[in-house]
Amino acid sequence: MAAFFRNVTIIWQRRSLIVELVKREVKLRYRGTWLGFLWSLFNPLIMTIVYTVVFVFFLRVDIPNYSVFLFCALLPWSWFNEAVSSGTDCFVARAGFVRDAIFPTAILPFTSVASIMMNYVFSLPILLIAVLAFRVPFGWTLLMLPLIMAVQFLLTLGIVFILGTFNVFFRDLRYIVQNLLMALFFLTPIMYDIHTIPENFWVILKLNPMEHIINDYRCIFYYNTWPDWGDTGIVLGIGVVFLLLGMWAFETHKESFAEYL
Amino acid sequence: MNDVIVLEHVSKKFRRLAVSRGVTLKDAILKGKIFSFGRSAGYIEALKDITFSVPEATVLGVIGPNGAGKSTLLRILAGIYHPTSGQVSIKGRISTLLSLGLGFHPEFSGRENIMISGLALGLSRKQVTEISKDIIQFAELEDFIDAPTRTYSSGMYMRLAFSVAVNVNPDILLVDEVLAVGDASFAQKSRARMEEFKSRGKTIVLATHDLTTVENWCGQALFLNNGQICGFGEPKEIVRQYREEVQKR
Repeated sequence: MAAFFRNVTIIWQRRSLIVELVKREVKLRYRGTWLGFLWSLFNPLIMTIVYTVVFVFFLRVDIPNYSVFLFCALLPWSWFNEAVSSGTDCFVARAGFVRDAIFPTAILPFTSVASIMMNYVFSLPILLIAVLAFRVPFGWTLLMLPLIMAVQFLLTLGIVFILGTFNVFFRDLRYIVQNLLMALFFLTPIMYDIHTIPENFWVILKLNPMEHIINDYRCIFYYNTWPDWGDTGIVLGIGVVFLLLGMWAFETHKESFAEYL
Repeated sequence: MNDVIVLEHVSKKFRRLAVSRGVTLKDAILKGKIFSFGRSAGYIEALKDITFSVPEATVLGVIGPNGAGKSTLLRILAGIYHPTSGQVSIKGRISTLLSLGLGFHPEFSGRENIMISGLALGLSRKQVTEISKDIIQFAELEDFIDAPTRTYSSGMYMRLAFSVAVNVNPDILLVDEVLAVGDASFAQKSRARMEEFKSRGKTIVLATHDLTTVENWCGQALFLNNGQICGFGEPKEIVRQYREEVQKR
């Protein structure tokens, strides 16, 4: 608990440094490219087109407005996926900051998750265009987006604190994580609807907190309903538990980071 | 006078790491070491029972052969390493110039790195903006400040790092070797800046192999060998002791 408050305080106090690092990393991503920032719009747009062609025209999936169905789920998944896999390396990849300078290492997991979240934010216009183009009904429930994103952010941050800390000492972790994420991608109803699979598998799928988060996004962007508050609350609880554990792990190991990097 | 740096019985042990870091699966299976990663290979004691204190407005020169523990000591003072045992107490804000890694992000421009380093050292965005002109000017990098730091020569890199370290107005400055990288004119300039620093009552800890600097410029000297203090006190005396030690070998 003490570790939690300490780290939350550090993150709050160092917010200007976090903002600066996130801004720089987002800019860095497309630095030197001709289209620059436009790439963050083109990437999801091209993905939408490819997936729609494959699933709607080739595989003939009979979910209505499949592009929107898929994309409102795939985009937050990409955020989770990239944040967890790059977050696992957040201390290792910034060895210079940890080892050679006075630097508040506690902000690195946050910076990592936040800078990848910006990709998601930049792709939202494309998603909204798709919602309009396919005439998917939408309403006030869209206002819940920041809340769902906050829950996802907390959950991801907790996971990144845990994985980032242990990756310093156990470098196999990043490969384990990549494979787990790949498996989890197929075990989360992103490309398919949970109702199309046998009901006895649901229990397993619902153990995955990302299933509920993805479902929330789908509620507001696709079904035009309110998110399932009970499930969201449980996921929030899991996120907080992960964050407590992660910050505790970080706090008890951070002193030896500089020696292992 | 006030002691700004106090070390009491500080020891630092490092795990001895082989090239294949930690334990691989092969080791784990062959030697049954699954749950002992890192612990197996033994320890190096980089610092042994170090006790000394540095009063305010002192320039302390740390000398000793390679592997004596100079850099470890500076990293302990900076709070980057934590002592295995003993107490470290530091009063005031620290700024460091520790190695040529220097905590710059190679893809960010010089200007961006100034902002990040400044914020990391606890300045506000406004304060960094105010001093960044001085930093750039002092580092003589006006023409290159918006280029990524990976394109810098080692001299440029070091000038920028030095310039950041001295311009953030710290109470204690820790410097490890790096001054050797600059050319003669920059060396002179940085010497002058450190002189000014000293006169403003700031504390400097300097690890170096340049014995003349220690004799002429430091107020106190610390001679480290094999992680132990061999001498602490008046620089001329300590340097003489170090020279004798070197000759014996």
